[in-house]
Amino acid sequence: MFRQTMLKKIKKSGLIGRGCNNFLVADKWEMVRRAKGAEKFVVCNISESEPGMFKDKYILEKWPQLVLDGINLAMSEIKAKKGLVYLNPVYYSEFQASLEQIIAKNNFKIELFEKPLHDYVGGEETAVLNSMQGLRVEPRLKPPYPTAFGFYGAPTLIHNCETFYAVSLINSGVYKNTRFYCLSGVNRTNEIKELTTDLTVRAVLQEFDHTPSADFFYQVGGGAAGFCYNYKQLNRKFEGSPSIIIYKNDGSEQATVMKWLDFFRKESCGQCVPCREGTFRLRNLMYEYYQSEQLDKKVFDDLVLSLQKTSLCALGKTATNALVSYFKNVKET
Amino acid sequence: MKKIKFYINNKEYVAFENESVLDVALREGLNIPHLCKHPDLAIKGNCRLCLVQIENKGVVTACSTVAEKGMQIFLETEEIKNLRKTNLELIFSEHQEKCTTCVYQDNCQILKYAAEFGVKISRFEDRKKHFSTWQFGDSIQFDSSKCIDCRNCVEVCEKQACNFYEVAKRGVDTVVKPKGEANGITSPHPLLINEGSLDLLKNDVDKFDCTYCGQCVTHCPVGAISGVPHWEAVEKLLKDRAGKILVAEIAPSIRVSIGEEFGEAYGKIMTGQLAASMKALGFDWAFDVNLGADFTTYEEAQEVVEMVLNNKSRPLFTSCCPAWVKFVEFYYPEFMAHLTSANSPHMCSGPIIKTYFADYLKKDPRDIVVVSIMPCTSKKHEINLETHTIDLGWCLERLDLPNIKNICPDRKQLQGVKVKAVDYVLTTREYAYLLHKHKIDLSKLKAEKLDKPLGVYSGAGAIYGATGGVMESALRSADYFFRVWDETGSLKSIVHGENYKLKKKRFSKLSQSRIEFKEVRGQSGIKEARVKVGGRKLNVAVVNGLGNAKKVLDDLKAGKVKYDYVEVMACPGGCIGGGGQPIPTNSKIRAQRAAAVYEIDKNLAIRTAHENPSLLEVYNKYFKGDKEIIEKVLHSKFKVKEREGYTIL
Repeated sequence: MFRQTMLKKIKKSGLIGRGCNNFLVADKWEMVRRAKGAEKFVVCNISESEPGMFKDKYILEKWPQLVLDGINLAMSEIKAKKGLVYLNPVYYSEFQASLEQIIAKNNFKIELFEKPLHDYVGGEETAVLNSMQGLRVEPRLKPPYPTAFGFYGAPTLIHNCETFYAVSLINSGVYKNTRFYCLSGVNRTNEIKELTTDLTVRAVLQEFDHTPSADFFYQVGGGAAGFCYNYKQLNRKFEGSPSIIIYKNDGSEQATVMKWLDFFRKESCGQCVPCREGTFRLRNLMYEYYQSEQLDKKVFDDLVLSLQKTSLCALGKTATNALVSYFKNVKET
Repeated sequence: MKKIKFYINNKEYVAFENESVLDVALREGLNIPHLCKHPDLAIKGNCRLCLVQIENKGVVTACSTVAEKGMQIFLETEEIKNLRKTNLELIFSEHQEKCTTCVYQDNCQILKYAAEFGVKISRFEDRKKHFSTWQFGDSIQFDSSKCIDCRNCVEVCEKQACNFYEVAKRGVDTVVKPKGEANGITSPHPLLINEGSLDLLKNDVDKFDCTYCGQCVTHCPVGAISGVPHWEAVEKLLKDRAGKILVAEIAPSIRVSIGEEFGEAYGKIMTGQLAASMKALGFDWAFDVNLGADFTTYEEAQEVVEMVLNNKSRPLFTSCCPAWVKFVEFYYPEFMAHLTSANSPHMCSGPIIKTYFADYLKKDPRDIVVVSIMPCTSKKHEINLETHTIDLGWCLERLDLPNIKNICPDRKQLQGVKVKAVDYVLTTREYAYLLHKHKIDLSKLKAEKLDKPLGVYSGAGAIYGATGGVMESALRSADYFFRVWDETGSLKSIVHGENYKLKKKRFSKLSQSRIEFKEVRGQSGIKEARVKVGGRKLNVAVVNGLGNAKKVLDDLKAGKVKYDYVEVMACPGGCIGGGGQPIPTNSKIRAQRAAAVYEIDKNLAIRTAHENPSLLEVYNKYFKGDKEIIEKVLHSKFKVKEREGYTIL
């Protein structure tokens, strides 16, 4: 009876996963529940390695009990053998004690796992699984998806920490269709607000008391993979992470562009050709461009397309988001 | 099996359930470029070349996309062509072209694709120009400036249970390399600050070593890995022989594979052409290792019989595969005493050539150069082993070599002078390369006969090339040996090569023993059978692939299985799938080569080692039943191996 009601509640809430894939939580649960496998696992991904994102930390500080409750609810729903909390090394050292205390007190079958590196791709769900299995930290080919073939091949339910927090709220009937938005950048220390899920970027900025203007441009959806917009383009919903970074629009692009390119060159796992080579070649191409003011547009386009269309995982596919949208939306307008 | 219909370029195709788009396309003869996919290995999808367009879904890799009902696939849209082209250009930027010295030049897959897609090879600067070449022991070379990081080698090495490779570092700094530091380098190498593979950070590299099986060579799509080349030295000798007699000998399995290098069908038998080609290149003598294989069988079958009669500890393992021997010596030394000590086939023929045949030629053994043409990279290692050297002083003292004694009258001067039983090993690929280089088209040569006296062989020797062949050969002779024992109460007539005629004949008039043991044939990784040999029942197993060997050894250790006699070949399918064989090699090709080997056996008049007149003559005339001589000439010793690792060239 309990299981039915829990999944029904989730279904009714229409809860969307708080990672960046916009997946219906109820669907995922249903898939894992139906998947064949003697053992099943629930994984809470607290890798939080996207620049400009710090909401998981905020949630861990304020509601660790709710996160663990959410994991436990999911575990009973899908009959999981074990729950695993995957924490980046900084969070691990910070929250290990408090989380373990709650786990012990409640007799949860949940274990903490320290992410070996504070890297970017290690937060991708299949890279998380590889990491916990002691394999090289890099994404797997999908399909199969973790719901069918996850931790050591067992059906596995993976959610971001905020999703489990929301599951707890839904269970106790207090979920109000809200999520956490992160704001950082010019004149801002990292700020967080819990607001309704359907807001536009402009509306969120308003909540943070920021008035968009031509003096700024905005990176929305994460400091690495997010897109750049000018102040007129903000009447849009969020895609990807609910994060906004405010940049000064003063034409000093080189440092920003190179920061993005250096980031992906460093964070590429090196598994597939377009990302391994593309992030490196594109970085060098732009570096040359800033030295010589000359850009081979054909090479630029070919590298961008190869990354976007043929990379094995989302890291490569989104590696040029910021760069391309900056040129399109900010520089050329 | 469930089938589904879908469309490629608007034409209907049928796929089996869970079949990938790439597999269907290749099966149907459609061209989709691909490098990292190998039929023996898992789908990795990292070269990103087999791109196709799915209607309403965009660009995907065909290797990792399962065909679905009604799916519309387009192979060559403008977008796809462009993307493939860019990715191929990026791959070329990781691959330093060294085409003139590359043994793959005639069947280079990426050059073929480059022409197909109009690729500018040098669009992106070669990133790996300064990358080094590593040599594993004395057998394998890995030129990292040609490596495209596809990891086929890593995976196949893992399948071979050796795990000698690792993927180090991340992103564009990723390096596929042998584990640990190169020999002689003590300071921590930057490669070991290995962010990616933390599991490998543990200081346990000494637990992994290369067995030189060469599976990484045949699974590398770009020729970055090869056997240590011996062809240059051989070519130099052929040009300027400096008074040397040059002897070439061909392994059982290469006659059914080398044709592939000359456009022949898989499994085409080329024995006669090979004989002609060796002469055309300038070798003085062209011999067949099949005779050597008969010696191996003859000795090994005696070991099997003695094990049973004396109730020695079991199982007995074959030992003619040097990669398997190294695997035992390094990874499982506790099983070393179970290896048969009979030499591998060319290590039987080699010593005989350098002693009795040298005497027949009236030549100093030091003036004879033996070149084995082998399906194998590990044989390059085997010929350097101490146990396979010939002590000339001992030979003159103990063997009946009147002519050599005349040439080298002072035995004392030869005391401790050692020569290698075999001087060089050319892989099938290397030999084909040499023929191409000298404009000898194997297909066009008129077949000739191999040279006598060392050219006569039995079908038992011929089947050594396929997994199960050594086992079957040994069983054929063991069957006879057991019967000889039962009739005469000793194996004396066998040791003396007397060709004892059994009084009790239960088999055909043609043969004195049971011939075919079909239960040990076939391509599966572990075959088990209970066979009746000479009135006794033996539990046998035939294993191919070191991963399977590991499983069998672990099961034996755990007491889960019990065998009397086990054949192990390191490579999938045995020597026909060897690390020195033509590329591509995969399960279908291996099956066709194996079928050809059994075809040779079927058509031979003599099908057992113990009926081979050449062999019996050597036992009768030269060994004369002297067990010490047989032991010294035809048997080897094993020793526990430390990690041999790799060096930077």
